Amino acid sequence: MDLTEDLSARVLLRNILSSETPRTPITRSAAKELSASETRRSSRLSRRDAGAQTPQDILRRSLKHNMRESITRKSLPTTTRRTASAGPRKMHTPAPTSMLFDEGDTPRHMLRNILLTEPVRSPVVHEIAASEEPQLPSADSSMTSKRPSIELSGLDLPDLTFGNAASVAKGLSRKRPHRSLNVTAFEKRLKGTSDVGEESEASICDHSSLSLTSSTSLGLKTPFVDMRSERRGLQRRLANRRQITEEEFGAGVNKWHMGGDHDQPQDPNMTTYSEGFNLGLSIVSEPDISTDIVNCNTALYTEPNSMTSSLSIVATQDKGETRDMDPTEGGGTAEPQSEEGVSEDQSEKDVGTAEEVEMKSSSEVKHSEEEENRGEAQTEEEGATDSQTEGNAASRSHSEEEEVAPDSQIEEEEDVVDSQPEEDVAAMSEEEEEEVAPESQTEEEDVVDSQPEEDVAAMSEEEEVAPESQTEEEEGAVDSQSEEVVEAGSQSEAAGDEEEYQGDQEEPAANSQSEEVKSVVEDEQEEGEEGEQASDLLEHISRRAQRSQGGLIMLVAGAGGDLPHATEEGWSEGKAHAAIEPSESSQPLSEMPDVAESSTQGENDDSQSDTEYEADKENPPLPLELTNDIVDDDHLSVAESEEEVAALDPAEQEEEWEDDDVEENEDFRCEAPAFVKEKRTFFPLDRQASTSVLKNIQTSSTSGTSEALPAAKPKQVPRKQRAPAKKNTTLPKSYLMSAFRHFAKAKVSADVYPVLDEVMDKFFERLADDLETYAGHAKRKTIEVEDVVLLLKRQGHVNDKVPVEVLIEKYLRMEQRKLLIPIATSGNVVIPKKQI
Amino acid sequence: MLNKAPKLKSTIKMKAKGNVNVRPASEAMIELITLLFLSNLAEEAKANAFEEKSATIRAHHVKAVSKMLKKARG
Repeated sequence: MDLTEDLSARVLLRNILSSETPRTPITRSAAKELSASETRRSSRLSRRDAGAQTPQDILRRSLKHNMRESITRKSLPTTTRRTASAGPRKMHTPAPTSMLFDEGDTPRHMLRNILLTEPVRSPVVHEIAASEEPQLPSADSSMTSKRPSIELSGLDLPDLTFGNAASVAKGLSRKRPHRSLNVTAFEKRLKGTSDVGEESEASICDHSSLSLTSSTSLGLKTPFVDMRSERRGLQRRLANRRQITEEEFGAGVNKWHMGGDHDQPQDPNMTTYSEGFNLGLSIVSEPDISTDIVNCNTALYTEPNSMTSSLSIVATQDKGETRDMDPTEGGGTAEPQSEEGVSEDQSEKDVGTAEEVEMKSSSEVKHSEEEENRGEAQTEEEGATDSQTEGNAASRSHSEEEEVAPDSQIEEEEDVVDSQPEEDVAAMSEEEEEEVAPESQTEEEDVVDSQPEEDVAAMSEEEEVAPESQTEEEEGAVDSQSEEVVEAGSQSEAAGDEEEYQGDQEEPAANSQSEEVKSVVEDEQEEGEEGEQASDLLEHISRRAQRSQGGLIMLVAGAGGDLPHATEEGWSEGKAHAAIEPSESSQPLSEMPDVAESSTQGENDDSQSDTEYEADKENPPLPLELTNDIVDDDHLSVAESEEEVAALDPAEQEEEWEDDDVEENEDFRCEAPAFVKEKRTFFPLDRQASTSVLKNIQTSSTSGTSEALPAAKPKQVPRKQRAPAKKNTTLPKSYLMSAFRHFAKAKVSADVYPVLDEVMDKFFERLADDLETYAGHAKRKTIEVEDVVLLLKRQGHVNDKVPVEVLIEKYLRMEQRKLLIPIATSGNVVIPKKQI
Repeated sequence: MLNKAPKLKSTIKMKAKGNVNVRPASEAMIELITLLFLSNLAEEAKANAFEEKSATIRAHHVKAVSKMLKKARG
């Protein structure tokens, strides 16, 4: 009171020191002792009584506190005793209050109380009790007043002193004392008033204290609350997710079902296409040259003659004639092509030569080439023929004219009478020089009875006019053809689409070439068969997927009529017819159908299957359809048939492959589908082809037979040829690449394989050389382990630090290790056995 | 390493000018030598590829390394 009134810092400090010191040690010790045992109680009690008994506790504490203060004040020394006594008194009294009270004296106690009674309002009580203290002694009150303020900041023990000082300093200003007074006033009220009042006051105080400590308490509590909220939030999120997933799942499932249906039907087509495509591509390289050669020979004027002559020749199988044909026909382009084709596939040569001979009769190299191609295709592979025809087409069309050429050729062939169409055809054929031309020509010849002479004349005429008309007609035709071809190619894969394509082909072809072709077509119509074939070819091209070869072939045969030859001739003829008809459609396609057609005409199934696995596949479907559409397809078919016929030659299948490569550049679109078709038909045709091929081969050409048999399957032919050829000393790719990858421990691109091969080759060379030398030095003829060890040492793999055994154990498999490192087993047995 | 090196013996015999025989034991040793060589080569190639800041080993990396072979010489 006096002390409180005294504002001097010194006085305050003295008071504090005087009042506190005696207490704190005592209170602390006492409190600690008490609290030690009572903390638990206090905590429990405080928690339990948090709400209810706090006012009571507050009252009690305040009372006790007052008692204490009074006692302490009276005498310092006595205070100690009294405090001590008070302590025990307090001990007797409800633990929580005393303890709290004691703890509240110092910041430590305050903090402890706060912590213990955190959820409870004990800290509040704390403060009240603390606040009560200063009431009695001025210093105490000031101190207590400070305490609440300190309590807030009293969490830090050292701050107490500062706090005190600050409070003392602040106490200079009267605000603090005011506060303290307020508190003290409350306390007084608490003291004086009844329990209710005290309680109310206490509650008020509590509120005040709460407000003071609310921050801390709240702060403590908030995290807890937050956790709950957070959990709730998470839970909610999860629930939302579930719902969405379910719904989405359903939607996704539906979509998946929908998508699956769409995908499924496409898959087989796609797969087959891809397969066929790959296969086709692989084989494409070979026939390119042959196709070029074949294309060269496909002179317009020679076509009709060659067609007929080829047919006859095929039957006769005059190889000499074909050979002669080549030089004579040597239409420049034709010869090189034929030569190339022949050179490329020797196996095909025979057939080709036979065809050439036929061509001679037709008096046109082109025809011969085509025939050759046909023959070869037959012997080798039907598919090859298609490719060849395609290749031929490709080779022909150094520009876009190829497509037009076959058409023109076919047209020309058909119109022996009409020089113009022939010219066109010749022009086309010349440029394209595809097998189709000769084929178509041959067909035409047969149908039209165009004699070789006439054909030659026509050819010559056509040739002359060809360049002129070619440009004109070809351009138009090419465009249409190209379009058609593209269409065909794109649609070839889809069976259904093919039909449409055919229609498209026919239409555009007809339209584009209507002017030129129509005339030709009309003329060709005479040859109706061819036209049918052409149309059939067109259809066939589109329907390659459908392999109704037999039926189609029959139709073709019927349509062709010209090719009674069961053997290659008929087969080649059929090609010619077929080629003629579907001129516009992709050349390879035409080749295929041509072959199919011719084969049907001839031995039909056999011939076709033999020579045109792939081509036939396309052909059979085409002929059937083509026959239906004669008019429109005539010109188209002619071109196509020409192409096809030429390309279909089984013997020339390989050539076709090669030619295809050449043609690929230009008629890539056509070729692709052709290949695909070929490939597709290949598989199913194999069964038929195998037997028929054998027959045909034998009958057709002796030379081709041997090849035909293996040629039955395109794979076999190249394999057999290569097998005896060289001895490959390279390690298998799989092993090499896997080992390299393992050691590299990084991504390895596949293009390192050839380089690796080279490196390993050199390595093995040197290795063998060294080992031989070492063994020879030891006068041995066997390379021993010690030789290799010596080599390892010299190379530096084995040195003092790294013995051989280490390397062995590191890199070799167990069985190898057993060989090298003796293992001792029980019974004095050593593995491997050491032979003295 | 887990796979057997196919046709190793035949390739060595082919390369050998004279008439030599190869024991199975020595065949194993030859396999060891080839593996060691491959590992060195791969390591060098990898380093070479890393120098060019490429995570993939390409053909030209391997080629460049093969020119610098030291251990391959007897």
